[in-house]
Amino acid sequence: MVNERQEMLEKSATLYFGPWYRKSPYFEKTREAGCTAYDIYNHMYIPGYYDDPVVEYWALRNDVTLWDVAVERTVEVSGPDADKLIDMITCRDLSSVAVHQGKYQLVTAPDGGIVNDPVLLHPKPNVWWMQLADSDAGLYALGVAAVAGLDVQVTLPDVYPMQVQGAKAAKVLEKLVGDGIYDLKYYWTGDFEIDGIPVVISRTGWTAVQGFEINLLGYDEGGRLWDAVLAAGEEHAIRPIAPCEARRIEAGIFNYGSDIRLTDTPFHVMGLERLVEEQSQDYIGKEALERLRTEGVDRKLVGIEFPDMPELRAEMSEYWKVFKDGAEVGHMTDAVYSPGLEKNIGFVWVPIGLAEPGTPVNVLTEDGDELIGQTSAIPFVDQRKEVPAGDLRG
Amino acid sequence: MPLNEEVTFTFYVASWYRKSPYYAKTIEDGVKSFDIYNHMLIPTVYGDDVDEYWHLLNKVTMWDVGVERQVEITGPDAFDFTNRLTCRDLTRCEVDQCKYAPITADDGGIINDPILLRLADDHFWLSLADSDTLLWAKGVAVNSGMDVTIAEPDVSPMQIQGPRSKDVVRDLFGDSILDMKYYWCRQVELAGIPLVISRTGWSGEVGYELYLRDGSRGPELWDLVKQAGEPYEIRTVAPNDIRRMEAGIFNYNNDMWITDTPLEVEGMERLVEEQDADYIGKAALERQRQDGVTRKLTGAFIDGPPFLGWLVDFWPVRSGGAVVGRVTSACYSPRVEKNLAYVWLPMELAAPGTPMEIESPDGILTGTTTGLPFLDPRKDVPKG
Repeated sequence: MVNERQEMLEKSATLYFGPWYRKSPYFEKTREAGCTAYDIYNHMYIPGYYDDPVVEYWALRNDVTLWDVAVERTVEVSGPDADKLIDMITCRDLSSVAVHQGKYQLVTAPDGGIVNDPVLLHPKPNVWWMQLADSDAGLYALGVAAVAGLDVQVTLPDVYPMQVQGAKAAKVLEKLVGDGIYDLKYYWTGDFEIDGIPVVISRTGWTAVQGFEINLLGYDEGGRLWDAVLAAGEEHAIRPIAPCEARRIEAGIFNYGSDIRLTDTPFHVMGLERLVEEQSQDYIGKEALERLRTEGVDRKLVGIEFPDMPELRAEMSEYWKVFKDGAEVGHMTDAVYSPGLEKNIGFVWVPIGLAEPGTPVNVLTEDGDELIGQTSAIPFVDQRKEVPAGDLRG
Repeated sequence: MPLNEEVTFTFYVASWYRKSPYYAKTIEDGVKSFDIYNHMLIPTVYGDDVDEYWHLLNKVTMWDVGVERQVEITGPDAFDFTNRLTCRDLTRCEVDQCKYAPITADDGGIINDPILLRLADDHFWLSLADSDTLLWAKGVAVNSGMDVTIAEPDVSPMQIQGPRSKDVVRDLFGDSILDMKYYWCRQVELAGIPLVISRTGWSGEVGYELYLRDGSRGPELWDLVKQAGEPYEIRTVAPNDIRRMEAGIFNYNNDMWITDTPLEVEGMERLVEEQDADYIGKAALERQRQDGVTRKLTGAFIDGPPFLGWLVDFWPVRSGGAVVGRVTSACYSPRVEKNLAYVWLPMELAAPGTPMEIESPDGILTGTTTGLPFLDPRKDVPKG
């Protein structure tokens, strides 16, 4: 039955359900599927635990998995000036993005700080969907729009994503929507139907393995869509899982609010620098970011690895302090055991002088143990995203 | 309140949920459950909420509300900018005065309902309910052409609420603190700890908030308040849902949010102040004032045995066989001796005395609308 990890339960609390948190359209299905813990994200519940994270990791790598990520609350920007507003709030250059093309968007504040890091979809002309990480970035867009004099609407539409991720994800989608799925390029979207339910499918996900997100357009058909996907995936041993920390850290995918915040710019984060795209048009934060590009940053989020340490068995419940030569120099935001790499890996904020991969540092755990680690490049695997962007039939 | 599996879930206290400076102290004091509010943990259960209710009414209580994050607005245009964010008329807000100040969107929707503190001519705090209003303010500032700085400072409030709170703050800050009127504030120090104290709170009782301006000194402040409160039997409690409902206080995201305007919420209408200044949402709200609203959040009494705990989901409300609205909050008030509810209804069903049927998890209940607040409409208690 339920395979709960004692080490994780020890770091848990009991919360009450309440109407101030919103439920995903798949919520009841996640309960039925044995979800025992939830996180709160964008004022909603997101599954936090079904089964042992190592079991779920291998299901993702070898088979296929289903995730309730309706908490990636979709903010829709639409109207005649939608292109202008969406391009104004990001350091990405969206001037040549085609309809149906998506981008990993960084929403930037005037000082270059990261407001949110959504997946941005462009499902129709003059319509953009920001599928948010955990901050009310819709309020930011709404605030900019309120005084920008643009003809644009910013809304929270009934759009609820679920992720189908794993080595056999395309096979499951083929069964649901036909072999048109094989034409979908990495980060692009298409309109499909599943059992008569209209959906928008994007080839995106939080894993950097093969995967898709299926966007339900409305609340009521959530249960039916969930069941249809599970039925189609049965022959490939599909299983609902919680977001896989080990895989996303291997892949250098960041957790907004944890690894990066409003106080950090893309130049402070290894792997995000390239997203500050040089462009002729103005955007919010451009001046600050172009200055940082020239002057450089004084601290950096980089990888850290612990080659000779026993498997970490629980999530950190606070940031762990990082020391160099006895002085506190930064903090570790996440650490997890990677079953694929067979070592503990994580992300760490360090002064720029220690950011070079291979620099030894000490980390003090919340239990008072001292660990010896060394900084590392991000991502830990698949630098060129060949796995998620590869041939779906391969 | 029972901790049973049907109304609770396991939650891993991950690193990214921010902890208040009083977090370790709340654990020492026996906190049993939290909510997530502004990306932080807020205590919601220690002991029995009815016991805590009586303690709040008769004695004094202390609460960790470090989750009330501040949006700080400073700079030469801070007044004009802040006045643009709210439907309150801030020309009537003096330095050291506080206002309950809904922050409104272009369509009049409520983005947040903070307590505003004016610390200087050009220095404001918005002490937030649960939404990232910092992002809203930063977004508005971009194209406003105003010279302002908008930040989240290191400020972490705690509340001291209940009739004996006066004794506690007098012992801490001296007699002159008792001159401070309802909804005013002062910048003070306690044992060298920089603070702002305001006479505000989430209870409808006499009460104060201490805004700690140095997070590293949270445990020290907590202990000082606790020691000062000892002679008055101070007790650490969670925000009390029963008392706040009696007082007609709303819980943002629960009772109302961005799709609702202040004119649609009973008791908030007066906050849409007629004024010369052009604030965001003014056109929409003045139009709504003329046209009238089509639905309202109002109060209701629900028949049946005392209701314990709080809602898991909104409860649908029926009239004439159709779902017409929803209950957002409900509790049993030991003083009113009835089940109280907040309920969204179409305007034609919102007049006091209108019957309704409610789909609760325990079956169909009957109820009747009534005005808000349930007690003390003139705020005589907290002003006293």
